[in-house]
Amino acid sequence: MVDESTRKELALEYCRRMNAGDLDGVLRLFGADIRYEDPVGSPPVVGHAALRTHLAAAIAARVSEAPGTPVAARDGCQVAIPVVATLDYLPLGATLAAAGLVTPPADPGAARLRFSLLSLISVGPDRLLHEIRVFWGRTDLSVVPAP
Amino acid sequence: MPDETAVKKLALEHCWRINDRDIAGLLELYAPSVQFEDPVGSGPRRGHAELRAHAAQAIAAGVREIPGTAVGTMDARQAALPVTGLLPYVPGSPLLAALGLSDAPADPAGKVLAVDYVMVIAVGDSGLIEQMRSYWGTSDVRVADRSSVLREDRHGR
Repeated sequence: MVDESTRKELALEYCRRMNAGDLDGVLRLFGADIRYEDPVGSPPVVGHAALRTHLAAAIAARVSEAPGTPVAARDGCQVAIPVVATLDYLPLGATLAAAGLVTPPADPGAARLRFSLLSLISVGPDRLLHEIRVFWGRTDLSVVPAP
Repeated sequence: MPDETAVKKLALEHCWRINDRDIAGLLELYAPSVQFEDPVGSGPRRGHAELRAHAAQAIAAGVREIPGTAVGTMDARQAALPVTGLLPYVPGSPLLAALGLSDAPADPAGKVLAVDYVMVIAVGDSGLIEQMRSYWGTSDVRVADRSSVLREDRHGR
């Protein structure tokens, strides 16, 4: 059992470390058996090594995560947090455009991807994150101008 | 099979029908075999009769729901929706102790009970909600000024 405030703080700390580009720091929040499903319905990323690759790509694209208010559950392990994440359109945007999920912008180098998402996180008794399920669909994804 | 927008709309409709005190309309959104858990950790319940009783209790307590922005999933089977539920604040009410608010203020003027939660639904081939899970804990319940709750935007919209 992990108290509610600790779970919420871990969810917010994840966003802070992603925004700081602190890849090693982010990975320290996760258990070795981390299962990261992003988005829900896709094959999960499992384990630190695979997750490092996944998160490094987001950090390289200058991800910015704006968290909303986290909420807990009464089960002693879960926390949910809405987030608006933006990152550089390239390189991920090209893949999403090829899949028909976004319309390519006129100037991909001056565009960002914007995801409205909600993460459902499970925290273990060791106070590490062991599962994240990231809810977003094609209607939650847009292309916006870079600031 | 429902599409992503339709699944999000189901989650929002849940809130609108609660606000309309429309229990029959609420149940029309749910499969007869629905499994729900509110809050997560309290144990799952099943079926229209249990959901009717649960919703009737919330409506009788005067709940009003303020939904945020719903998000979907690529398989168009699930949606998640942040919500703030508002309840009349009655000092000394057994509800306060049940929610863990033992040190709530004595003056009820302009106050409401606010519960921040996230509702996650899963939809079946019928287009009806087959599973609903509501995430909130003791730390997500607070006594707040009604005016400030209605002004604030916790969902980042």
